[in-house]
Amino acid sequence: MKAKLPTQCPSCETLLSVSQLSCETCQTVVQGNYPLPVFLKLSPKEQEFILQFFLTSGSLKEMASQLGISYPTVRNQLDDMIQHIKDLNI
Amino acid sequence: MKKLLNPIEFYNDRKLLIVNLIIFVIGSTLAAYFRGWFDHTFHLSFRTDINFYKTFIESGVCVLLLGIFIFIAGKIINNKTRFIDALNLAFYIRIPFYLFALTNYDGRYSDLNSPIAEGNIMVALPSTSLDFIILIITSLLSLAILVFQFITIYKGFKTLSNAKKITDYLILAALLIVSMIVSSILLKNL
Repeated sequence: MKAKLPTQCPSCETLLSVSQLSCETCQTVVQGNYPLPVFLKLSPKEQEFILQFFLTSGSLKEMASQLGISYPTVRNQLDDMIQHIKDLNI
Repeated sequence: MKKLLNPIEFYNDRKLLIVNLIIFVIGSTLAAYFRGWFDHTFHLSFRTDINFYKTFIESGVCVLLLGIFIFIAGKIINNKTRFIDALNLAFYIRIPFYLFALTNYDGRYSDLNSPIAEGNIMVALPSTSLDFIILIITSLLSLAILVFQFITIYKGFKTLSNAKKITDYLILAALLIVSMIVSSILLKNL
Protein backbone atom coordinates (compact mmCIF):
# COMPACT_ATOMS: atom_id res chain seq x y z
CA MET A 1 0.00 0.00 0.00
CA LYS A 2 1.30 3.43 -0.93
CA ALA A 3 1.32 5.62 2.17
CA LYS A 4 -0.54 8.91 1.83
CA LEU A 5 1.47 12.01 2.73
CA PRO A 6 -0.39 13.89 5.46
CA THR A 7 -0.47 17.63 4.82
CA GLN A 8 -2.76 18.77 7.65
CA CYS A 9 -2.29 18.47 11.39
CA PRO A 10 -4.72 15.77 12.62
CA SER A 11 -5.21 17.76 15.81
CA CYS A 12 -5.75 21.38 14.73
CA GLU A 13 -5.92 21.00 10.90
CA THR A 14 -3.15 23.55 10.28
CA LEU A 15 -0.92 22.82 7.26
CA LEU A 16 2.11 20.79 8.31
CA SER A 17 5.69 21.70 7.38
CA VAL A 18 8.68 19.47 6.60
CA SER A 19 11.04 19.15 9.56
CA GLN A 20 13.15 16.18 8.53
CA LEU A 21 14.50 14.74 5.25
CA SER A 22 16.64 11.61 5.05
CA CYS A 23 18.75 9.85 2.42
CA GLU A 24 17.77 6.19 2.04
CA THR A 25 21.27 5.24 0.79
CA CYS A 26 23.64 6.78 3.34
CA GLN A 27 21.11 7.55 6.09
CA THR A 28 22.09 11.27 6.15
CA VAL A 29 19.39 13.25 7.92
CA VAL A 30 18.64 16.91 7.28
CA GLN A 31 16.64 18.71 9.88
CA GLY A 32 15.03 22.12 9.61
CA ASN A 33 11.71 23.74 8.99
CA TYR A 34 10.61 23.84 5.34
CA PRO A 35 7.14 24.80 4.11
CA LEU A 36 5.33 22.24 1.95
CA PRO A 37 5.51 22.90 -1.81
CA VAL A 38 2.27 24.32 -3.28
CA PHE A 39 1.45 21.10 -5.10
CA LEU A 40 1.52 19.12 -1.86
CA LYS A 41 -0.79 21.59 -0.14
CA LEU A 42 -3.54 20.59 -2.54
CA SER A 43 -5.88 17.65 -2.00
CA PRO A 44 -5.11 14.34 -3.80
CA LYS A 45 -8.08 15.03 -6.11
CA GLU A 46 -6.66 18.43 -7.03
CA GLN A 47 -3.20 16.97 -7.56
CA GLU A 48 -4.70 14.36 -9.89
CA PHE A 49 -6.51 17.15 -11.77
CA ILE A 50 -3.27 19.10 -12.29
CA LEU A 51 -1.54 15.96 -13.52
CA GLN A 52 -4.35 15.26 -16.00
CA PHE A 53 -4.30 18.90 -17.11
CA PHE A 54 -0.56 18.62 -17.76
CA LEU A 55 -0.88 15.29 -19.60
CA THR A 56 -3.56 16.68 -21.93
CA SER A 57 -1.38 19.72 -22.74
CA GLY A 58 -3.81 21.98 -20.94
CA SER A 59 -6.76 21.07 -23.15
CA LEU A 60 -9.89 21.21 -21.02
CA LYS A 61 -11.94 19.72 -23.86
CA GLU A 62 -9.68 16.67 -24.04
CA MET A 63 -9.76 16.36 -20.26
CA ALA A 64 -13.54 16.49 -20.28
CA SER A 65 -13.71 13.76 -22.89
CA GLN A 66 -11.21 11.57 -20.97
CA LEU A 67 -13.00 12.05 -17.64
CA GLY A 68 -16.45 11.53 -19.18
CA ILE A 69 -17.78 14.89 -18.00
CA SER A 70 -18.62 18.12 -19.81
CA TYR A 71 -16.38 21.09 -20.62
CA PRO A 72 -18.08 23.55 -18.18
CA THR A 73 -17.70 21.01 -15.34
CA VAL A 74 -13.94 20.74 -15.94
CA ARG A 75 -13.65 24.53 -16.32
CA ASN A 76 -15.49 25.00 -12.98
CA GLN A 77 -13.13 22.56 -11.27
CA LEU A 78 -10.17 24.50 -12.66
CA ASP A 79 -11.65 27.86 -11.56
CA ASP A 80 -12.31 26.49 -8.06
CA MET A 81 -8.72 25.22 -7.87
CA ILE A 82 -7.32 28.57 -9.00
CA GLN A 83 -9.36 30.23 -6.26
CA HIS A 84 -8.16 27.66 -3.72
CA ILE A 85 -4.51 28.27 -4.64
CA LYS A 86 -5.05 32.04 -4.42
CA ASP A 87 -6.60 31.53 -0.96
CA LEU A 88 -3.48 29.68 0.16
CA ASN A 89 -1.70 33.08 -0.14
CA ILE A 90 1.12 31.91 -2.37
CA MET B 1 -30.94 10.31 -12.30
CA LYS B 2 -28.06 12.77 -11.86
CA LYS B 3 -27.53 12.84 -15.63
CA LEU B 4 -31.25 13.31 -16.24
CA LEU B 5 -31.45 16.31 -13.90
CA ASN B 6 -28.26 17.94 -15.12
CA PRO B 7 -27.10 16.71 -18.55
CA ILE B 8 -24.91 19.82 -18.97
CA GLU B 9 -22.61 18.50 -16.25
CA PHE B 10 -21.90 15.24 -18.06
CA TYR B 11 -22.50 15.38 -21.81
CA ASN B 12 -20.51 16.95 -24.62
CA ASP B 13 -22.09 20.31 -25.57
CA ARG B 14 -22.32 19.66 -29.31
CA LYS B 15 -23.80 16.18 -28.95
CA LEU B 16 -26.28 17.53 -26.41
CA LEU B 17 -27.23 20.35 -28.78
CA ILE B 18 -27.93 17.90 -31.61
CA VAL B 19 -30.11 15.72 -29.34
CA ASN B 20 -31.87 18.82 -28.01
CA LEU B 21 -32.54 20.06 -31.57
CA ILE B 22 -34.04 16.69 -32.56
CA ILE B 23 -36.24 16.69 -29.41
CA PHE B 24 -37.20 20.31 -30.16
CA VAL B 25 -38.41 19.45 -33.67
CA ILE B 26 -40.30 16.32 -32.55
CA GLY B 27 -41.63 18.06 -29.42
CA SER B 28 -42.81 21.18 -31.23
CA THR B 29 -44.52 18.99 -33.85
CA LEU B 30 -46.26 17.05 -31.06
CA ALA B 31 -47.27 20.28 -29.30
CA ALA B 32 -48.76 21.63 -32.55
CA TYR B 33 -50.47 18.30 -33.31
CA PHE B 34 -52.12 18.30 -29.88
CA ARG B 35 -53.17 21.93 -30.39
CA GLY B 36 -50.67 23.46 -28.01
CA TRP B 37 -49.20 26.93 -28.31
CA PHE B 38 -46.63 28.83 -26.32
CA ASP B 39 -47.61 32.26 -25.01
CA HIS B 40 -44.36 32.80 -23.10
CA THR B 41 -41.17 30.96 -22.16
CA PHE B 42 -42.74 29.00 -19.30
CA HIS B 43 -46.29 28.41 -20.46
CA LEU B 44 -48.19 26.06 -22.71
CA SER B 45 -51.82 26.73 -23.62
CA PHE B 46 -54.28 24.89 -25.85
CA ARG B 47 -56.61 26.21 -28.52
CA THR B 48 -58.63 24.83 -31.43
CA ASP B 49 -57.24 26.93 -34.27
CA ILE B 50 -53.60 25.88 -34.47
CA ASN B 51 -51.13 26.81 -37.14
CA PHE B 52 -48.21 24.33 -37.25
CA TYR B 53 -45.82 26.94 -38.58
CA LYS B 54 -46.77 29.47 -35.86
CA THR B 55 -46.37 26.96 -33.02
CA PHE B 56 -42.90 26.13 -34.34
CA ILE B 57 -41.93 29.80 -34.49
CA GLU B 58 -43.35 30.38 -30.98
CA SER B 59 -41.42 27.40 -29.65
CA GLY B 60 -38.22 28.60 -31.34
CA VAL B 61 -38.62 32.16 -30.05
CA CYS B 62 -39.20 30.86 -26.49
CA VAL B 63 -36.07 28.67 -26.57
CA LEU B 64 -33.94 31.42 -28.08
CA LEU B 65 -35.11 34.10 -25.63
CA LEU B 66 -34.69 31.74 -22.69
CA GLY B 67 -31.18 30.86 -23.89
CA ILE B 68 -30.26 34.54 -24.32
CA PHE B 69 -31.50 35.52 -20.84
CA ILE B 70 -29.85 32.53 -19.13
CA PHE B 71 -26.66 33.47 -21.00
CA ILE B 72 -26.89 37.12 -19.83
CA ALA B 73 -27.41 35.96 -16.20
CA GLY B 74 -24.44 33.60 -16.53
CA LYS B 75 -22.26 36.26 -18.13
CA ILE B 76 -23.01 38.70 -15.26
CA ILE B 77 -21.85 36.09 -12.73
CA ASN B 78 -19.02 34.46 -14.67
CA ASN B 79 -17.44 35.92 -17.78
CA LYS B 80 -16.50 32.43 -19.01
CA THR B 81 -20.14 31.39 -19.47
CA ARG B 82 -20.78 30.06 -23.00
CA PHE B 83 -23.90 30.59 -25.10
CA ILE B 84 -24.04 26.93 -26.21
CA ASP B 85 -24.46 25.78 -22.59
CA ALA B 86 -27.19 28.37 -21.93
CA LEU B 87 -28.96 27.32 -25.14
CA ASN B 88 -28.70 23.65 -24.18
CA LEU B 89 -30.29 24.41 -20.81
CA ALA B 90 -33.05 26.42 -22.50
CA PHE B 91 -33.80 23.54 -24.88
CA TYR B 92 -33.71 20.97 -22.08
CA ILE B 93 -35.97 22.67 -19.54
CA ARG B 94 -38.71 23.04 -22.16
CA ILE B 95 -38.90 19.32 -22.95
CA PRO B 96 -41.63 18.65 -20.29
CA PHE B 97 -43.95 21.06 -22.14
CA TYR B 98 -43.88 18.83 -25.21
CA LEU B 99 -44.84 15.85 -23.06
CA PHE B 100 -47.53 17.87 -21.32
CA ALA B 101 -49.08 18.66 -24.72
CA LEU B 102 -50.07 14.96 -24.88
CA THR B 103 -52.66 15.55 -22.13
CA ASN B 104 -54.78 17.32 -24.75
CA TYR B 105 -54.95 14.12 -26.86
CA ASP B 106 -58.75 14.29 -27.09
CA GLY B 107 -59.03 18.08 -27.34
CA ARG B 108 -60.14 18.14 -23.67
CA TYR B 109 -58.53 21.49 -22.88
CA SER B 110 -58.51 23.22 -26.26
CA ASP B 111 -62.28 22.66 -26.63
CA LEU B 112 -62.91 24.49 -23.35
CA ASN B 113 -61.63 27.82 -24.64
CA SER B 114 -64.73 28.85 -26.61
CA PRO B 115 -67.36 28.12 -23.87
CA ILE B 116 -65.18 29.84 -21.25
CA ALA B 117 -64.75 32.86 -23.52
CA GLU B 118 -68.55 32.97 -23.85
CA GLY B 119 -68.88 32.94 -20.06
CA ASN B 120 -70.16 29.35 -19.79
CA ILE B 121 -67.89 28.37 -16.91
CA MET B 122 -69.90 25.23 -16.02
CA VAL B 123 -68.53 23.43 -19.08
CA ALA B 124 -65.03 23.74 -17.65
CA LEU B 125 -65.89 22.04 -14.38
CA PRO B 126 -65.30 18.25 -14.11
CA SER B 127 -68.58 16.36 -14.08
CA THR B 128 -67.72 12.65 -14.07
CA SER B 129 -65.31 10.64 -11.89
CA LEU B 130 -63.13 10.09 -14.96
CA ASP B 131 -62.90 13.86 -15.39
CA PHE B 132 -61.76 14.15 -11.79
CA ILE B 133 -59.14 11.42 -12.19
CA ILE B 134 -57.80 13.08 -15.36
CA LEU B 135 -57.79 16.44 -13.60
CA ILE B 136 -55.82 15.04 -10.64
CA ILE B 137 -53.32 13.29 -12.94
CA THR B 138 -52.87 16.46 -14.99
CA SER B 139 -52.38 18.54 -11.83
CA LEU B 140 -49.80 16.10 -10.46
CA LEU B 141 -48.03 16.08 -13.82
CA SER B 142 -47.94 19.90 -13.82
CA LEU B 143 -46.46 19.86 -10.33
CA ALA B 144 -43.86 17.25 -11.33
CA ILE B 145 -42.91 19.37 -14.36
CA LEU B 146 -42.52 22.43 -12.15
CA VAL B 147 -40.25 20.60 -9.69
CA PHE B 148 -38.24 19.05 -12.54
CA GLN B 149 -37.76 22.45 -14.19
CA PHE B 150 -36.78 24.10 -10.92
CA ILE B 151 -34.13 21.45 -10.13
CA THR B 152 -32.85 21.37 -13.72
CA ILE B 153 -32.52 25.16 -13.93
CA TYR B 154 -30.77 25.31 -10.55
CA LYS B 155 -28.30 22.51 -11.33
CA GLY B 156 -27.79 23.46 -14.97
CA PHE B 157 -27.14 27.12 -14.16
CA LYS B 158 -24.73 26.10 -11.41
CA THR B 159 -22.74 24.09 -13.94
CA LEU B 160 -22.74 26.57 -16.79
CA SER B 161 -21.86 29.65 -14.69
CA ASN B 162 -20.22 28.13 -11.58
CA ALA B 163 -22.82 29.99 -9.51
CA LYS B 164 -22.42 29.65 -5.76
CA LYS B 165 -24.08 32.58 -4.02
CA ILE B 166 -27.77 33.25 -3.43
CA THR B 167 -27.41 36.57 -5.28
CA ASP B 168 -26.34 34.61 -8.40
CA TYR B 169 -29.67 32.79 -8.37
CA LEU B 170 -31.57 36.01 -7.69
CA ILE B 171 -30.02 37.48 -10.87
CA LEU B 172 -31.12 34.34 -12.76
CA ALA B 173 -34.66 34.54 -11.32
CA ALA B 174 -34.94 38.21 -12.28
CA LEU B 175 -33.78 37.52 -15.83
CA LEU B 176 -36.12 34.54 -16.19
CA ILE B 177 -39.02 36.83 -15.27
CA VAL B 178 -37.78 39.36 -17.85
CA SER B 179 -37.66 36.53 -20.43
CA MET B 180 -41.32 35.72 -19.69
CA ILE B 181 -42.36 39.37 -20.10
CA VAL B 182 -40.33 39.91 -23.29
CA SER B 183 -41.50 36.65 -24.87
CA SER B 184 -45.09 37.37 -23.93
CA ILE B 185 -44.96 40.80 -25.62
CA LEU B 186 -43.09 39.45 -28.63
CA LEU B 187 -45.37 36.45 -29.18
CA LYS B 188 -48.53 38.56 -28.88
CA ASN B 189 -47.31 40.63 -31.83
CA LEU B 190 -46.19 37.65 -33.89
